[in-house]
Amino acid sequence: MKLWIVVAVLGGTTMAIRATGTLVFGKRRLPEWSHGPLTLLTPVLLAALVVAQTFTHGKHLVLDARAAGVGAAVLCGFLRAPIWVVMLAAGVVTALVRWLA
Amino acid sequence: MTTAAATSPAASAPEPLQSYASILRAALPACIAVSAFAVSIGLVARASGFGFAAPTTFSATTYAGASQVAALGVLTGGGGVAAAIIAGVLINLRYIPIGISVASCFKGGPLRRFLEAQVVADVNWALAHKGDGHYDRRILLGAGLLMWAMWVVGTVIGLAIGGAVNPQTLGFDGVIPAMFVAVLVPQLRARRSLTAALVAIGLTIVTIPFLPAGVPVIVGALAVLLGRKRGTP
Repeated sequence: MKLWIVVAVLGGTTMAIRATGTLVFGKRRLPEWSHGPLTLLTPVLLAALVVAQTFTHGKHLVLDARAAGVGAAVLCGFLRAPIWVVMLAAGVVTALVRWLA
Repeated sequence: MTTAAATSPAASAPEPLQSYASILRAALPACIAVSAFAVSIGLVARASGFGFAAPTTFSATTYAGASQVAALGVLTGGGGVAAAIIAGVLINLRYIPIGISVASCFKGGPLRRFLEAQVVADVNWALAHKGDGHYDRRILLGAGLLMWAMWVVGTVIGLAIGGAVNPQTLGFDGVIPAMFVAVLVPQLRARRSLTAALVAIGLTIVTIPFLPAGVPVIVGALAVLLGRKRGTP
């Protein structure tokens, strides 16, 4: 069956991808020039992930209820709310806006 | 992993109960959102008639929601096996840079590190970040194992209940990016991080309409190259 082939190949490839970082870079000393970029890796990836998960539907840029929820999260984040408050606010706002729309 | 502390009580202070409780507290809100996502994947798979075993195995091995949704979507939309695999792999390419950022968190030989790396998802990766590119191994692996289990259980629940409720209507799809926001915002106080994050956002948005899903995140990640000018570590 089709899905089983996808499960085997995608699953296997994803497992290999997940282990690439530690198997390739885990034990060796990274070169000096890479330290600057590596310190930026976390904020940069987080920012890209937020955008991709908030404003996309397939290959399309969309503005929907998620944007309102994430907007609420940004506000809560700058107000230094604890993480669960940020997430709760985003969930409530997303659901409310979707319900109203 | 659980008995490691018992052999050398003096060396690295064993604080099992406290640390498990703190991991749980840190991970709980995210776990709820992750489980809801898994349930919705189970619902989708059930509605598409993929049976029980294949979607459950899918969640246990691939363990990456967006790629599973994309692959299922390609198949149900009449697309081929190759297209489904490529869509899923592209979305999961982000685990290469994510894996590099936590590369030193894993212990032991290649096999053990390979297995430990399997519980890394973007959610526990974000939760484990301690600041300045350092990660908490216990949260990364502890929360990761917990979330993996909830991912599989959630999928099974979704498959079992079928199309009764859709967690999306409850706003859970806004919750996971919100968690990334919560981890990101405190890091933006450093000017360099703020600039790089804004460039990453720009690169991602501009490329979304032109590139397959997942690739824009990789393009956005190229913003790390802004850090090349001999910055202070």
